[in-house]
Amino acid sequence: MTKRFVVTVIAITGLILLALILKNGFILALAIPFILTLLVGLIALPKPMKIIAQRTVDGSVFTPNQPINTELTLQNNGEALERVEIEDETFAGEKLVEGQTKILFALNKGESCVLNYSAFLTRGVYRITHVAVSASDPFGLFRMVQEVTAPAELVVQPATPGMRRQRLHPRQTRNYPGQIPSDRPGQGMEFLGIREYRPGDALRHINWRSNARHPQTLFTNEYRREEMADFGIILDTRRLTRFANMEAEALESNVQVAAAFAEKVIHEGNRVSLLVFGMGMNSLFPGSGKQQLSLMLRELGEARSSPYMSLDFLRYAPVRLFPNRSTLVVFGLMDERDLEIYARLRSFGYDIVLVNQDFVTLTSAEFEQKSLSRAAIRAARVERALLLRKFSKLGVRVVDWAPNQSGADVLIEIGRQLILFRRK
Amino acid sequence: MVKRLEMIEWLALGISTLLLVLVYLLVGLWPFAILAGIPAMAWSRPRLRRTAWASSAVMVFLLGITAFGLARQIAIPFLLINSIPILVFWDLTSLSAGIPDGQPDRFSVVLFARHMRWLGMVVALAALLLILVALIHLELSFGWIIALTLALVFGFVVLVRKLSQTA
Repeated sequence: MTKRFVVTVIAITGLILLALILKNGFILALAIPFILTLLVGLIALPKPMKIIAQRTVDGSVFTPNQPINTELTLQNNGEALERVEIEDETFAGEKLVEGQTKILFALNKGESCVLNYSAFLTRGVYRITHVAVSASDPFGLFRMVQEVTAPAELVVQPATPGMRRQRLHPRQTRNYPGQIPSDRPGQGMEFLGIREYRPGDALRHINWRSNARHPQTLFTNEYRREEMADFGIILDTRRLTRFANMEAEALESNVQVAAAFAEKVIHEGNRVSLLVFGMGMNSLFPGSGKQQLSLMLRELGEARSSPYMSLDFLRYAPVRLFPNRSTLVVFGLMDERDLEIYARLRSFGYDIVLVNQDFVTLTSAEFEQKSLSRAAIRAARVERALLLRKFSKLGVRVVDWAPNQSGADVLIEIGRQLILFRRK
Repeated sequence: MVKRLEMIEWLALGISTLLLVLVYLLVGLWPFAILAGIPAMAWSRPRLRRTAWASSAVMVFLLGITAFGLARQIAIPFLLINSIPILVFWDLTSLSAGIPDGQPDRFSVVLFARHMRWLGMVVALAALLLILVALIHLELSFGWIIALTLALVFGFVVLVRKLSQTA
């Protein structure tokens, strides 16, 4: 039954009652056309639908800037349907470029209908199972809704900010060949130092200037061995303040930069693992290569903000997730309650870079509009500065992400902080 | 296609309003003639047209004014027939409201044709019955009326129960 049915019944009942009250048969006759529509609606009541749907999407992995072209074909294998409404709820409310996601039409027996549309989807993993089909009588009085299976899985990966050419130089590397110059001598391009010549050393590495100064001894140049490194990305999705909208925006930026960072790390031949920390912890064990990147972008695509939970739960994370000598890059807000777990992670020997958005500046704009006390904003700034200092004292490098800084700038800053670990 | 639907809507509303205004003016009940013109004037406001309940309100208002004329026993055949344009107006407004914005005409054309076929059937049958009502005069006792009403109410209850069970 629909609203229209209710209005029809009310109109008919009202006219009957009025006719009875006024004892006027002509008023009763006014209800005839409405009673007839009701009868026709009953006669043409939709029979159980036998609709088969097929969905074709031009791919399975997309970015938010990439339109998703979908073709939905519906074949009616049952009785003719006078009024059918189809709505593809996945795309409802999304930015439609072309076509329609909702249509109202009539479908004869054996007939098929093709729906084409193109839309942008926001970041996420969409598991589409069905399409909602509702059939009704010609006057829309009685409706029958059915969910027709039309499965598809779409992954909309986060958009990644453009990266400038800048190599990552973490302090800790592994003993496997890679692209990062380590502190160990070996085959490489970057100069490490000079040592006394040993038999077997390549003659082209002999340092002739040093030999000239010390004629009795031969010296050879040593080069840094190029190795790969282990990185761990922790995306903190917890809500720490009451500014849910702003935190959602901040999470979006964090996801984008984390995705770009993962892309860069893997592109340079390193291993990377991921932990999306929140109510539901999603993790990805260390790996490298395109498949790992694809899995990471998928996990990051699914990240949603979650209620607060203590970062202390990290102690239950599998040991293999972040191997020894890993560099952890944490994307999230700073919280005093997390200091202890950061200290613990540092004690395990991890180098930690915390990418933290300046939430005080972000939110203060709203406060200033509301003409609230400026002293409160100043106090919050001081509190944040103190917290930054506490983190620094623990040996955690903090990338202070100002609101006017782009994602690309933040990536450069992460690289700079990694170099600072080496200089320590 | 939606424009064509809107044109027919306006036509139905115009016919109904004109009929009521003329009937009340000819009888000398000019305040009711003004009242009859209000729904059409209100409907010309696009903001009101977009609200979901507006067409139902216009339908109820027009039916009320028609019923008043019938209660006063004036121009009975015209007022009886007036229920048809009221129904057409209300039905088509709900149809056009159901069609999503920008729907391609290839979908709307078939829907429109089939809908008009059913509506035409209802209109023809209703016109025939209303003409019969205007011509044939039957007198029923109060008991019969009560019995018929009870039967109708019972029918509604059975219908609603059956529909809710199938749903």
